[in-house]
Amino acid sequence: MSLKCSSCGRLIETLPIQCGYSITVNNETNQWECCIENCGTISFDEFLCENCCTNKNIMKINKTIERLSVENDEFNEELGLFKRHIVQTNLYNSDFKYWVEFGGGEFKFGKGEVDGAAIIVSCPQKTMNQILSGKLDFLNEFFNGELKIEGDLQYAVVYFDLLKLALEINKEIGGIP
Amino acid sequence: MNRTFIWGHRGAGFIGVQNTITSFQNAIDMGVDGLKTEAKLSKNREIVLFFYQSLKKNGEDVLINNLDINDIREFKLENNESIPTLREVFNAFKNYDIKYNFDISDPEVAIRIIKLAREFDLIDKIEIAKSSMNPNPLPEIFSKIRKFDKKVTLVNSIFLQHSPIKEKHLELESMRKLNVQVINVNFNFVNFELFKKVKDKGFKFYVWGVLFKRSMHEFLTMKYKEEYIDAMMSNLPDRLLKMRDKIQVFGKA
Repeated sequence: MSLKCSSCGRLIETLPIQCGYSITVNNETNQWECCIENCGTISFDEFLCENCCTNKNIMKINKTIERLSVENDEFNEELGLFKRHIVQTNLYNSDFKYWVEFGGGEFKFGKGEVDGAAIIVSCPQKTMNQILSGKLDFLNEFFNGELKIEGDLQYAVVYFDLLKLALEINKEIGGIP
Repeated sequence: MNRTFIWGHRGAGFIGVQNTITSFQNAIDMGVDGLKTEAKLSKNREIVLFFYQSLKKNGEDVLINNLDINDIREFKLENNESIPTLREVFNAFKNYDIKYNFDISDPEVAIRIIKLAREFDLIDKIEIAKSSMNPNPLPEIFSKIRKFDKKVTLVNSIFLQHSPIKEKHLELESMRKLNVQVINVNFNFVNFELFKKVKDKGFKFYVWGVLFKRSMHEFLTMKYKEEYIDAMMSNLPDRLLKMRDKIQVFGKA
């Protein structure tokens, strides 16, 4: 029996190790249960390949930050200090693009490309996922060439500093990563 | 007890247009102790204060050091001001008791800054810093400068890629030989252990890039042997000044 990604439709030929170890079939609900990247229990027809799962995780982290921008006073105050800027991110090995608009007390994001980006960030999917998970530091990745920044470097640094702050606050309040 | 010295980064870098006379004036009006900026050399050897290496001219990026001062002055920033020259800045703020800290990437720029500072009798008011983007070892940047001036304050801004500190990246031996007095670290990599290590070695300790309230508070309250961190740099200096004046009630910067 073949397993297809419910997002991109590609055949899933191999499963990540952490996934392979944790998949079980629940006989009562007839659902596959998976704990990859905090997916929790997902049904068989909602399965994602590793690539789509990582993209989903990146967007989920952005969603968390967006929520913090509304609900957390400290983060909202910090966002209010900066002029609005759009960051376009291109994850070149997964062909996935998303944008973030931050500043003026707000943090918004979406899939795809938008006009008017002052900063363009390009890096491998894995690198961005690890930066957003707090496992890598963006400055190190920038200086070792893994992460490329075009446009306003100063505000790019602010953007990544804000992401770092959001993750720190989220951890402190016990939010879902 | 000391008070943390506050540098306005590019003036008040995130309020208005950075590195302009207006931005510098704004920072001074806020009460900063000094102005931190970047110095570049024009083709005809005039010092200008500007972050980027190049300017757009007829749609093309042209290196600052390939442009005459007149071409550079013709370029208008967002607020319609020209990129300031160092001479213009020294003249504009000669009546204020402030210091200047210049990021440089070429020893010649520093030597010209020193000459101009001597002309304005400001040699005790300037500091020369290696840029944190510059990967070259300290002697390549500072040897000629130290030979030219035995006393001027030199600042080792740790190369960002090396900032997760290993002792060798601090270049302490070179710092001693060249009499580099200060270590300057991005706020993301600052912790008490590093502060203590630098102070125990006899150097001053600066922190740059501080923007958020929680990091301002953390570093303004960090003390070792009853001494606060020597200096902090921010693009939002008004915020930092207000917090310093609440936390560090005694002493003088």
